Amino acid sequence: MPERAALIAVLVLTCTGCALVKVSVKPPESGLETPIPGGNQRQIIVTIPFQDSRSSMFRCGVQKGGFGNEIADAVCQGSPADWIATLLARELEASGFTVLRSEEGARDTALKIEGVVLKIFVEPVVGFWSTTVESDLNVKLVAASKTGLRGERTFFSKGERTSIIWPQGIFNDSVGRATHDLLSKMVQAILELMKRYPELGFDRRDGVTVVGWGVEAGR
Amino acid sequence: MSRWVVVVALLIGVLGCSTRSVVVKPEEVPKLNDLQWTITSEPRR
Repeated sequence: MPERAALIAVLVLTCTGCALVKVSVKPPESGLETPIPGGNQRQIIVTIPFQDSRSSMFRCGVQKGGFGNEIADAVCQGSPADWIATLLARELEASGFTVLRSEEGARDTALKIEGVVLKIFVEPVVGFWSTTVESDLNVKLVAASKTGLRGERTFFSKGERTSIIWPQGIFNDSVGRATHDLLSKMVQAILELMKRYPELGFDRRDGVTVVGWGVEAGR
Repeated sequence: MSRWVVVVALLIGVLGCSTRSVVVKPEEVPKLNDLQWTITSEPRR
């Protein structure tokens, strides 16, 4: 009888990988370590939250056991459509833009950014000796202005964190890396768009004077 | 008999590995990023 109990215990532990609780995925607490300069106080309107168009809303990922079997869901703390938009707004402010939450009081040239969250998913890829928790983030930005601009661009980022065990903290590190990569790509793309149309965000009466625009190489 | 079951279960547990079910392979990421903005309407100058 004790032998049978031990056998069942070994089988359960082996199959589950010792983790059966849901993982709570949360956003990083801060933005990029070094903000990307170039905002020059130009106006940007960021619509918060973004639209949430994920194919699966009930989870943000999956927890796996020791041999790759799914054992629990990973759920997002709060709405990713809200926190990705909020982090982008903060990052644009850090880059020197004047960020508005609505069109009220905005210049006609202000760039309006709306976003669509297409995917957020965190998943451990279990290997022989270690496991990499991978996070995929996919967001589409739509840029517009009252002066007639209309454009869009899709961004995809992956965060990776390798470890021999993969509790909640490893999931959060992985999501943090993906989020920072996504923020960097989005801010650089917005700066690129405003370089192409330098009148955006400025008061037309002031004329167009772009000072110190630049994106750090290799970011 | 039961000893073999334990050994097999442990081997699977130790040597186990998994493939991706939802996340994409890292090498596919560049293809999923737009290289530039798609502009459908230019702003009035």
